[in-house]
Amino acid sequence: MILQHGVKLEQQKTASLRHKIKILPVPEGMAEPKPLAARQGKLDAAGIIAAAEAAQIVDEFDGVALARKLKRLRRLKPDMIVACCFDEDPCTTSAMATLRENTDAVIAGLVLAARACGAAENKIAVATPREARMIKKINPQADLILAGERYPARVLLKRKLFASGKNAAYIGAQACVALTAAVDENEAQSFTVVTVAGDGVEHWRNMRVRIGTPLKFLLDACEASEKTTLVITGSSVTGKAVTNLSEPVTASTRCVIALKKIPRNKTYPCIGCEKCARACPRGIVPWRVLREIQSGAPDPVRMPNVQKCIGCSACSVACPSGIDLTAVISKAAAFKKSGDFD
Amino acid sequence: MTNKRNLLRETGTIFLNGVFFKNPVLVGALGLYPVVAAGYNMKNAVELSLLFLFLSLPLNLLFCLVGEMMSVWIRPGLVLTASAVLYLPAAWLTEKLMPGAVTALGMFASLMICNSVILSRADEYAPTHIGWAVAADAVGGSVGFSLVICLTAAIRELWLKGSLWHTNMGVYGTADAGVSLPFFGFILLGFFAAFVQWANEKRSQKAEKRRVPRI
Amino acid sequence: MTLNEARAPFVKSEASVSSMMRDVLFALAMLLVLPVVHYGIRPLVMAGVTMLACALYEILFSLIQTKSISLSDCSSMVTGMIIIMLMPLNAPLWLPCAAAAFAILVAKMPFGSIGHTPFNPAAAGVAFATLCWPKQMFSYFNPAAAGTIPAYGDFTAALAPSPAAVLKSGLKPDILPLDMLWGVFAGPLGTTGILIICACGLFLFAKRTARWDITVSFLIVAALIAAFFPRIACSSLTSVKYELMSGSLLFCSVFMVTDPVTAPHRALGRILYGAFAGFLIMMFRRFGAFEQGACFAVIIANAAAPQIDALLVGSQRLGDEPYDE
Repeated sequence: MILQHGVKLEQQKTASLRHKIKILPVPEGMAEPKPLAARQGKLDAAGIIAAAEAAQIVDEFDGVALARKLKRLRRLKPDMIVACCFDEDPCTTSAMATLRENTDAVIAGLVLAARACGAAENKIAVATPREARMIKKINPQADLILAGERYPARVLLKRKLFASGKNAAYIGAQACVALTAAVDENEAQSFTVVTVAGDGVEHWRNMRVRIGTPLKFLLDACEASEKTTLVITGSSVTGKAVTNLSEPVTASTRCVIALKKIPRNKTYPCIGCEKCARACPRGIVPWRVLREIQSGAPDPVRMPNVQKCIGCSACSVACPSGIDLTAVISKAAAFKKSGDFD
Repeated sequence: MTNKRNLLRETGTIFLNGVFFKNPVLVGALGLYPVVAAGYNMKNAVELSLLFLFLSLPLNLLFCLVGEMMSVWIRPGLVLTASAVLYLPAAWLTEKLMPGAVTALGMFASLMICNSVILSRADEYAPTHIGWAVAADAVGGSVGFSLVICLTAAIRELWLKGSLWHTNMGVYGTADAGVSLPFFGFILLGFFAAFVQWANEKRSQKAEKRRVPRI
Repeated sequence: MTLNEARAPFVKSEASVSSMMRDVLFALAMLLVLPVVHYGIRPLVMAGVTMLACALYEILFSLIQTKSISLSDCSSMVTGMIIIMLMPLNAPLWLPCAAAAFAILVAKMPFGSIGHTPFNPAAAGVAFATLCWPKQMFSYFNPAAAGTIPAYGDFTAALAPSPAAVLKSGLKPDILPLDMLWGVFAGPLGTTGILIICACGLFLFAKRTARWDITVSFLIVAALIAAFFPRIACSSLTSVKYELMSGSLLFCSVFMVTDPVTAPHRALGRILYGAFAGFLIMMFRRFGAFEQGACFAVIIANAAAPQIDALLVGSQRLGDEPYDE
């Protein structure tokens, strides 16, 4: 058993990947997107960034405007741009579905992005070898790398690439497609693919919806049951609970999960099984930080690396005692930062 | 008049501390060896307590008298020597009160000479405090020690033999030699120490509530 | 539909403390199958009584502590099962209950129940019983000569020395090592089914409930000492076979040293701890007062575990990322 970081989650992706992406009709009352002005000038790095800015493309994985990201990457000069076409969340499949149906658009967008920030290599990241085979069948020219299915796969892949000497930067699959559309057809980013899943909906589907559609439409299209008590957007591990269903879909929503029961975990004391330290992709040892915080006089020296926490909650997921380690680590990081100790 | 009353009250406090609240065995973790190794039947316990009292009281008073007159570095050695010398009348007195005691105790009797409770009180407390306080401390320490050792010995003897002081109490003793092993003494001491700590905590909580907050 | 607020994370990995304890309980229950087949219903009765006693003691202590009673982590039941596995089948019923009383009321609950125990409670309970009643703990009945065995109540039978006792007196045991695999020889209740213990071990390792590094280093060190310093006049291989299969060594290596609460937390620390425990148990067998010193070795190794952790202190280092997205 090789020392692998991250935590293994039970994947529930086949249900939503069974069908193609369903296109949801635009609800009434939403304005038509304005077409952009025709592009002038050469299609060089500045031109691509300008097109991304005009189209207001947002990278769906981190919610950052693509233009700003590309400008920043131009400054930092990564070795490789990786198109993130996998979902580390066990229920979400929007990135994979996008890649499956718009493979050429993703590749084209990736090439454009690589040109925009001056990266030498570009690759597409998929989760499993099976998917890689499927994509290769569609387009044999695709340059693929495997990210694995452990959560959090994004960070772990980046670590792996950095260990082999390459600085990699991520760009989302839907952002690539939108970039291609902006450059070739002068279209602004107005659609996004969202996975609807969870035991509170009848059908698990990927839906292509207009950005700004209220969540209610998505849930109704998949026949959400009345017994749903919890709706989560973003990710089933680190997402946000939603109470108002007229909240609009944004470019970075990516998934809507409806659950019938609120998951409640009984908390036990820490048993020292070290699963949290194995799960953490950033090298923090959460159980030691917990012990330090729970003692009377926490010593910041004994809490190394807490400021590096990215909030992926892999530790909380892995903990068999049900302790909310993410909150503990953020408290420790705040404590360490405050300087309020002697 | 007020001085004397204060003196009496303070002496009472010192005595009570020695007996319970700052019990040298349970809170100070001193003198564990006689309790754990030798305190497995009541007769031993009583004999050791008597020996302890007869040894510590004269020794402490002696060093209250002469302690300041010697340099600090030589005091521990002199305490040990004086303890050895004063052991003789103490052992004779114990033998007088309970015949056959010293021979029955064997090694443990003479090991009382270097009992850490007696030595630490004589070396650190006695030279710098007045006679009343020293006497109260010595007697309180003796009572505390005897309380602990008699309690553990009673429990162990009851469990082992079903009898106290070699007379059958009618309780069926079940355990084999295991109960008389030191580890059981340590476990009993642990529970007693927890009880004393709980009492101390309750006391300090009550004291905090009574304290008038200063503005 | 009424929607509620909730906090992340909304998904959990399958392993939880209750599920880990249930895995161990299942493995221990499998160990009871063969004795029930051979000897009747008494093993089940003893196991049931001990587990009930453990649960009652835990409830009693929670009442004294005026804390909420929760038995949902089945750690007390696991303690009870391990205690009964280390007792002979013909032990009187009060013996495991007394050991369980010590294990729960002295070694487990005062320290804070699961997660805070410095010593393995089952090992402490068995050690207490060994010290107080060595005769009852080590008199095993002869399986070949036993008639029907009563379900509860004391029964006297022809006694036979276990292979561990025979080894301690310097003689070669009567039974062949290959025959010891089938588990029909005199010994503690749960430690004679060698093959089943191995299967349980593999099951627990596969489910990630127990860590395999402790068990492997424990067995390797014990085997090496048995090979190089045999207690009886025979070949090294035979000595290894006898030592590993007699007494509670194998059972202890799978169920007792792997307890995550009392073992060190770092990987290298666990290997050192397993090696230390293996060394200790062989020393106890050679120089100790009783024929089986497994529980004592486990307790001493538990005492050393925090020091082993402190020896290897140091955090993992990650290469610095050049930038965060």
